[in-house]
Amino acid sequence: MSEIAAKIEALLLLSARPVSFHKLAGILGIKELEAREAIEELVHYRNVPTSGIHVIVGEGAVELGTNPAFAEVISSMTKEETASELTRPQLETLTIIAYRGPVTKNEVEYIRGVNCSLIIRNLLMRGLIVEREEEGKIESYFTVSTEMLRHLGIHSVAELPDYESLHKHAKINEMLEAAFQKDV
Amino acid sequence: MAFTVEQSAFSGPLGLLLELLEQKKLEITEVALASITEAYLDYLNSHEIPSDELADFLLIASRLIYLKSRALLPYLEAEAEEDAVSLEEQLRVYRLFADAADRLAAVYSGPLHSFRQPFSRIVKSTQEVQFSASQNVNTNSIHEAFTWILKRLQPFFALREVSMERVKSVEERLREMTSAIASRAKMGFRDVMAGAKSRAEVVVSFMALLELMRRRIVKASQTGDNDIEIVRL
Repeated sequence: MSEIAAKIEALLLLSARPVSFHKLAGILGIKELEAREAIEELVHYRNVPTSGIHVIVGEGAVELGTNPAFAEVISSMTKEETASELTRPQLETLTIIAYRGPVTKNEVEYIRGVNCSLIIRNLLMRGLIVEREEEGKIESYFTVSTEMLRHLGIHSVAELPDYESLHKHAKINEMLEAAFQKDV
Repeated sequence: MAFTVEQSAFSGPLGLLLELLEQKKLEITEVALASITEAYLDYLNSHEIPSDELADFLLIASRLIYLKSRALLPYLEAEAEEDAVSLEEQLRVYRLFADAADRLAAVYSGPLHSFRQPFSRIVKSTQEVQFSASQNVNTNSIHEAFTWILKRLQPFFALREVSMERVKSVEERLREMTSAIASRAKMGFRDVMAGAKSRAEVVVSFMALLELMRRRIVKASQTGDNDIEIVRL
């Protein structure tokens, strides 16, 4: 493992919560792309069955967690709050954000065919999704949080069942394009 | 009521459609959708729909009724304006995610979970609760935050300008038409349109005409050659 990757690991251990690529790059005085590459390296090094510490990578942020395979033994000693049940609309909204993220509220609402403002607010407050704002755009983009990934016991959204086919589904892309071109 | 749907069994109008199709063991096709229109409307009548979702439920209802009317009057099809995405297509895509949600739910409540280090080492202050601004709040950071908000609002400001212009041009058009009609007793809408550079301008002129009629300054009637004759009152 390179020194940068090792430093990132140390920083993540200390922070005990998700740290953005941007912030890591700032602390280490490197480019964000270099930070991404080092995280990639850390992922290869850590996310193996023989490592107790695993790396969870979300959109633009990363954190450390325990190896999901050891969940049973770990849960006997930690009091981490268990996530409460999701309602069906919350689950659907979360699913769309997980598979299609970064995604706008408009797109989520188009797929579900119904207003999702309250649900999205609720998911945000519970820390299951995160919001990203962009300059010159009123609309925000939503992705699932690293907390959510940890909860699912996966290391990135790419490990979701059928991720590739739903994320890049040609039919869905076509539909969203057609739907939103009409409004422009 | 012909059927019952558990509140938890579907979510939103598309979920309701899927549920209704499933109950009748129908595939997602236009014909099938048209055939469940009544069941869908019955459901809306017999259930309390949350007010923030009502518009969306009604939108789907209108699309169902449209499908049904098209099934009944197929010869009208050519004139109908099609949606960019058919309800059938939209429902298929929705089903992909509804199915994915079921799989995700299984993982969500499953045994695998990664834990993070708790914050326990951070010593909590026992001081009395009082307001204290966090250290990163200073004149610079507030200025930066506000600049950022302004940057994100740029498209909104652009939007405002356009709509202001349009309002102004209706006013202008109104004045122009008032002075035009003042100098002659009558004119045709075609003359008014002659100088229009865009479709929007024609619409604006028409709105100005309606306003003049409302204020009883002019009277308008359709002439044989498809023009509108505008007469001063």
